[in-house]
Amino acid sequence: MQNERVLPFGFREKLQYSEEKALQALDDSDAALLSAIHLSSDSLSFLSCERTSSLLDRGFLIKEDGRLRVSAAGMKGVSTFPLLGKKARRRLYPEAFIPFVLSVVASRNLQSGRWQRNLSSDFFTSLFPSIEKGKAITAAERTIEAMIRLGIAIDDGECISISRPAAQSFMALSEEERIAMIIGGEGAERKKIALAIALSQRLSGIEKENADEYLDRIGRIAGYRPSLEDLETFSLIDEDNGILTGRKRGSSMPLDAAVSSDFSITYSGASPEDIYLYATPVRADSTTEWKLTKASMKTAFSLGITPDEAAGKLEALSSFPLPESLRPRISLWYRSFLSVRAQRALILQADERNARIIDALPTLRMHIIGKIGETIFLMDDSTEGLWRRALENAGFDMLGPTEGPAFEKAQERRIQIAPSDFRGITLPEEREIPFSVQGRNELLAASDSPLRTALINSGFITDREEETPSVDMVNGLYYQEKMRLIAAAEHDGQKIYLESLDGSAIIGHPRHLEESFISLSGIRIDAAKAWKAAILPPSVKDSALRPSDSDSQ
Amino acid sequence: MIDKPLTVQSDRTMLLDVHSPSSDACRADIIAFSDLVKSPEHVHTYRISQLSLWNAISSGLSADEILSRLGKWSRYEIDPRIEFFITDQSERYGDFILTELDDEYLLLTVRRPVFALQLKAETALRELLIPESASSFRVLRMNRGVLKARMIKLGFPVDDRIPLKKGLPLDIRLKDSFTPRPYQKDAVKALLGDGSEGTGYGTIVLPCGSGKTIAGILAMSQLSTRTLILCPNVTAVHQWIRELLDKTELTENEVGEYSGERKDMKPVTVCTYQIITWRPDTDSDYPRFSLFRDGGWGFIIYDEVHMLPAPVFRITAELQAIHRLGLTATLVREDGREDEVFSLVGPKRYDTPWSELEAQGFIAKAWCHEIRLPLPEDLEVSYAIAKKREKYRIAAENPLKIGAAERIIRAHEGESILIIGQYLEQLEAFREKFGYPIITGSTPTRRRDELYAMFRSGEVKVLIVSKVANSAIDLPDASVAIQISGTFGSRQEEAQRLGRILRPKNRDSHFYTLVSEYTEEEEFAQNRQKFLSEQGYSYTIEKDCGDAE
Repeated sequence: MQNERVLPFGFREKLQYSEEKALQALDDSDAALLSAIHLSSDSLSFLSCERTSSLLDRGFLIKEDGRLRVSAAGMKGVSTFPLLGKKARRRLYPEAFIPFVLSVVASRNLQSGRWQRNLSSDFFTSLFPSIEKGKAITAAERTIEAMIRLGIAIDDGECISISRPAAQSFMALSEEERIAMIIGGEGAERKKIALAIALSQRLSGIEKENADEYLDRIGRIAGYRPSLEDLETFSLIDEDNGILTGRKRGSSMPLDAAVSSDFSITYSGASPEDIYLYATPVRADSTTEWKLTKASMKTAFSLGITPDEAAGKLEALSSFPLPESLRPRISLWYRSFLSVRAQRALILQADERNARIIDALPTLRMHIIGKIGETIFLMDDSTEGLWRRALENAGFDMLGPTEGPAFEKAQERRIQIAPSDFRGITLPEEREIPFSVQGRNELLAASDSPLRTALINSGFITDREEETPSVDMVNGLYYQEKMRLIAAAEHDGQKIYLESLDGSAIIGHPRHLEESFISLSGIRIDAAKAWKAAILPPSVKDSALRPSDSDSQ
Repeated sequence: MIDKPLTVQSDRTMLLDVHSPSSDACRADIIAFSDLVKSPEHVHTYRISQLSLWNAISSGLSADEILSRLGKWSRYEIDPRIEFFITDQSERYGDFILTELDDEYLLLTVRRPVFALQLKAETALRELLIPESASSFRVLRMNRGVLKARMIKLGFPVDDRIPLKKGLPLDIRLKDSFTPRPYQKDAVKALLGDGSEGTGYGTIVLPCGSGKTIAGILAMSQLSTRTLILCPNVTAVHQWIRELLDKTELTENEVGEYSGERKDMKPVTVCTYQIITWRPDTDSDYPRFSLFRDGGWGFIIYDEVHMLPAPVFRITAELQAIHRLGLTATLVREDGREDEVFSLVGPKRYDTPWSELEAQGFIAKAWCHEIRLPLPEDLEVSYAIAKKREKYRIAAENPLKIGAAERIIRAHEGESILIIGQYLEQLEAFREKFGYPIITGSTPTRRRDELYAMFRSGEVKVLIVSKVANSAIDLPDASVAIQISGTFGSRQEEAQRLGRILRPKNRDSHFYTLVSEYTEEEEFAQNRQKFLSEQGYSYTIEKDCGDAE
């Protein structure tokens, strides 16, 4: 026993873990995966990724309560690589695009069958100064088509109107999911598309010819490969002279909102969820501007919003007290709105005797809108079934079907829009990259050994002047000692470094297979042939993992 | 970290967060190359236009400096298209250079011959340009303004390098007892600059009651040259003369009135637009335009430049060699000719939000009230069947307004009150009811001046006035205005009428508008209020409760 050689665990002293250095070893693929895991409600689906285990090994991910969580160090990693590509100037995403389209729908100004014409008007496209005209029109057309498909917009044959409950469910989703639904994603697909959108918006300064490579990477992470056309149509990314850059997202909340005495409403960031019901769009850009007008309030009142409700919403939104004239003005508009109203009704005619009975029936009272003369009643059209039953119960069993042409009723498609826990824009986007990726590439180019390369890749060596730590190596000729070392590493969750005679090396968590064969980073290896072996901490990156590799979900 | 209060939008509008600590510094930086569009209480909107950029470049600002200022204050990344626009437009400035040639002609030189071809292809320019070489044209001196205005409309800014004429000298000294306000000095500094090319002409926009006349007098004293002042009416002429004699060392012998009543040509002559545009018949020329050419003027002031009549535009186009100043509170022309004012009189050099001056106490704090009152039952049907234009009149002349006005007057007893209206019959009805004196277009000037003087002295407490008092009337003590009717949806008229009560005084001012509810007048009233709402004025809406009090 005394002759037994001590296994070389000296790496513990020589390879001290430093969070700062480990962060420097991250790359944008790591950060993209961390972002995806952070955003996703189904983080465990990423467990099968090799890169995920590497991130777990390096402490950027934590497994707890049956799910994966990005650690504080991991979030720093996301900040370190906020973007996929390089840091380029990014324009702001027009957060108000969908609310503006909803507002146009709610105003009932889109004629059935020819609403596309309204969208190509200068007025409409001028609402989006940061979006190219053609794209604004196409995006709006696709949005409205999707809204009709989803039952958010209703085409009743005369005009397009809005279903308030469906619109509210839609707007309760994150922007990424809304776009996902417009693109056509439902159920689990919706989340994948949303994730792909969130990652695509982090593309920055990439050559258009490399777009496929990046979109493939995003596709492998998110499980959905976004199309460049969709991303451009919905202003998620911009192209400028062959360079693609995702648009930056603003705050997930309206910021610095102000309601001014000219009834303009301005804010930056995401829109308040139902502003499209009561305000008219003015401009969607870095700052969004709406205006409260008589016409917009008519829309609001028609959708059942009361003056108090509207003023309350504005009060909650505004960072400043509302202008004094606002509430009275809304009340006056409401009075005008109520002063003349049109309501669908049915005429119920009876002879004198039956009219007296109908008049006296308490079960009918709530359905009678008014009377025209002694024997003619105006009945509520919307409750026809109820009052017919009440009449039948009262003995009027000879009442025939309603005569005359039927009212055309809108075909409301009640599609349930499931709520979601997708986190939307909660990632930091604007950070200075604290060190140069180019610097690391230069270090790698000057590396003289596979171990040094591995340690540079893992952030243990960050400076040209730093020497490669002399990690204790077992000579490959000592077969038993080598196998003991592998068994110990497997037992302790450490990694193994195996160097071949030709100087190439492989690093990974070992798993003993049979005899001298082990699996390392998923590769079957005959350890007997290894020239050198050493134990390394889990925070050293697997050699199979190259910076641009991605993993599938 | 520097506070960034500015949002630069892709459509070249800029939103300034006025609650930010650095909003004043930012405003001072951006006003040189943008126009103030609106200034409600929280967010002010500015716009960068071709014209505003060219004006900035012509007064010495470079594209790099403009971009650096935007970068300094902008909260978000600036759209590359904005940068391109600024760089591109500034590069265009200098493509067309206007210089002296001889006594009769000027020389327009283009940077590249291809531009000359472009100019030749424009029908609007053909009659003004005589080819001189492959890259230059001769231009008649008298066409200088017209050429510049037309070229600007076509997107070709002219770099006019001909220095302004000095005019005959005149010593105009300010009295020691008089101290101008800081913004008046700033405005004049913005107008005159360092005296180099591209300065010395322009428009100053200051709120009513803030002392635009003083700004004009300050500019006069700095230029010290013979000056022609054009005003919208005789009362304004008299006010200018009064102010000139009060604030400067000029004597009565040096200041003349050229109006329907007097025709005194003096080194400083004040006249009306009406008198200058008089002509014997519609086919004749304007004989009094010679006044512009023959006075040896070095400076022309256009008071209330928003009212500049079309013929004056024409003569102004000829007067591009003279220092020019347009003064106004509301450069809102319902005919949309603001651009012509800018290109012929000169660009907007100074504009300050009304709320700023109110906050500093330079204009009175004003409360705006919209009083709603019903239409009498006997008018409801005639209103319903009337044509659109008649509808407005029926609503505007609602007889119940008399009672409402009476209650307002009672509530402001002892204060100086103006009742302002559009329709003479209505004004007469008010006069009959209350017995207050009335001023309309037919009131002789002498009688008007008497009544204004009595109003100023407090001898008359309530004055009924027609639209003759819409602007340019200085009534320092007026603190209440009751607007009983107006010119449809005129935003400019509304602001000017409010302006009558904005002179700072020891009490707040109140501006009442009487509106018949559920009528067209409501819509027009809202449109009228647009300009003031955009300046941060908020109208309370009150229902007239009759004699219930």
